[in-house]
Amino acid sequence: MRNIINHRVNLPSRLIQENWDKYSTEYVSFENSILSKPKRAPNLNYLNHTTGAYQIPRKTFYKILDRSKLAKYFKSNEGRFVETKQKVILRGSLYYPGMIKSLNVKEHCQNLFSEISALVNQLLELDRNENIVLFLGTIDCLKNYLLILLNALDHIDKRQNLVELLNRNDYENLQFTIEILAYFQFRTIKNKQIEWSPDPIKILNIHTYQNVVDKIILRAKFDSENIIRKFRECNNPQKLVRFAENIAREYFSQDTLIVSFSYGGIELPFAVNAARMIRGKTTLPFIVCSLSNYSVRNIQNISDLNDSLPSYYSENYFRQFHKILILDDSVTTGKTIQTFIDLYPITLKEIFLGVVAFKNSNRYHHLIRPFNGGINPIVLDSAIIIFPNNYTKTYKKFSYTNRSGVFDKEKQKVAALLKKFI
Amino acid sequence: MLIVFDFDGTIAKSTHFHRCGWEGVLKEIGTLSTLDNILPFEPNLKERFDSYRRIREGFLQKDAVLRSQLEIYFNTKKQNELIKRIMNLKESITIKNILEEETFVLLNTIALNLKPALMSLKTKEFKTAIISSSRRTIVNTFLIRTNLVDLFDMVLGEEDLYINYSLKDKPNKFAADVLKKKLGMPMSYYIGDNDVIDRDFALNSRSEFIYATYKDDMLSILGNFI
Repeated sequence: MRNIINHRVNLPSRLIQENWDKYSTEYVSFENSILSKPKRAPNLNYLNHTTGAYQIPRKTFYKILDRSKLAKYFKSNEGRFVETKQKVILRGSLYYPGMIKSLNVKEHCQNLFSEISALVNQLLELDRNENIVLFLGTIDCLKNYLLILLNALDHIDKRQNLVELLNRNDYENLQFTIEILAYFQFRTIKNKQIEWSPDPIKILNIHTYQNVVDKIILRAKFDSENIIRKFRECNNPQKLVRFAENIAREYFSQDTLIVSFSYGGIELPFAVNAARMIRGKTTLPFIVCSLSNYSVRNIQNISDLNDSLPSYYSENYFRQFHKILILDDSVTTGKTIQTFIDLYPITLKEIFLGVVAFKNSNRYHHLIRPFNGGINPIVLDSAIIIFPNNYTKTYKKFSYTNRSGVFDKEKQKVAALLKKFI
Repeated sequence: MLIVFDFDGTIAKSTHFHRCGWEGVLKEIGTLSTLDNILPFEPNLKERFDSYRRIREGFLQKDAVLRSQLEIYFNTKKQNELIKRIMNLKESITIKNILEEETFVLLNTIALNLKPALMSLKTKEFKTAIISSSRRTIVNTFLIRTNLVDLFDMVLGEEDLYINYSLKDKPNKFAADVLKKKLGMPMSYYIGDNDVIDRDFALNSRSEFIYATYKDDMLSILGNFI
């Protein structure tokens, strides 16, 4: 991992278009180097379904159903699991709110808070002899709902200053709980036994968040798709563990700020800090910005980093950090990262980049679209990038999808699995 | 008719960007050697830095410490691979400098009346191209920033001048042959600022040579055609 301060992350679309022969060769060569690296996190083999969900053989699941509280918890609601001929997959339609059935914001929020409460209760009374996969599935679900909540709060914050409604401590407690869940998840995977202490989740005051969300959604009209995100792009524990371990191996001084972008990259700072804790390192300060091309639609309008931050922070927060570690779930154009760097309020000394997934050689039309461009191959070489992404091949300049309208193959796979089950 | 231009020193005074690019490479690698020591001035090349031979001699053959620094940085010991990666690094830093430079500064480096001269050539259906020993991406970045990119039918840069790992740079006529193949017509004129290399290149390619630098008024240089 090298400092990328001397390089432009995003190269202009016209430059990519005029030199596609050269850039595509460099992209392919980098993609091949990614493919040649080992992919699976060693202790996670067979625990995860291809969609990233934890899975347990059906026979085992029904064998332990009588004595396992967690098995009963999953089985008690059809939205909590998907059953195939051989497996019980521990992510159901509730995990992906709105993917199968579109509800209004109020119904989504009710489901969200009732699932969080139920999962917290399960974990507070966890039996140490529980099945390890069911435990990991439970942590995975709670973490997912808390990330959805965190993103919903950040989204609400754009309309109504959250600082007036929610104590900063409560906001930070939510972040702390997510970090701790990631930590116990990683430790359990590493030690192949349940590692858990219920104390950290006791600080989570769910009713506070529920009151804030209820108040706001009654007052203002929200598009349920924006406030409750149905699919988090980087949600595969196999990939997250491997990525976080790779980043945690690197040295960063204590004055390095981790920056990630919602919604796809929202989990990454938590995962990296959890992996650092496991290695005996201290956690690094982090901030999640809403700057993404796809979620904000028009990046041209963002001319001030304040617009991309939760209201507990201002641009001044960045002034104490001259070194940043940028984490993103996927990189194609590099425009989000470039925009962030360009808007950073002080002159940076060091910029490091970690990206979970990359593949550009099949995205020609996406890259040559005006104002898009492509990531600089030198930046790829300097970053930590572990996996190829799941984006489909593009065919038209003004469409991000393939001929069947699919953009993200993994999302498509999840939707198909849920539909089949229902 | 196909009129081909040299880039550095002819179309633009780009030395500053190349120099900054190379200085950026030295800084990034962390060497104490200076650019003047690694790539010393050669009168016949003017300030043409991006020469495969010069990079090999300057970076890899002069100083064993520098070479080992490069081998560690790029994680390879292969000479050709090292040179390619040094060039890639320099290319990326140069592109950043060009992209982040003020537009008026860039426009001040362009040859006088170049744009109207090129537009006149285009209205008369001349084909225009650039053959340069600099990277094509660097030339293109310059053309994009100065809004000249649509006025050239083709740009050939350093990366187009290789057969396997062997660079067939000017005055070798290889570039003119590639251009002929791609555009379907031979080069009629080559306009360059190097009275030795560029002239020989034109001669080897059986085309006419026109001497011009970025200081000249391109409307008068190309007056016979427009």
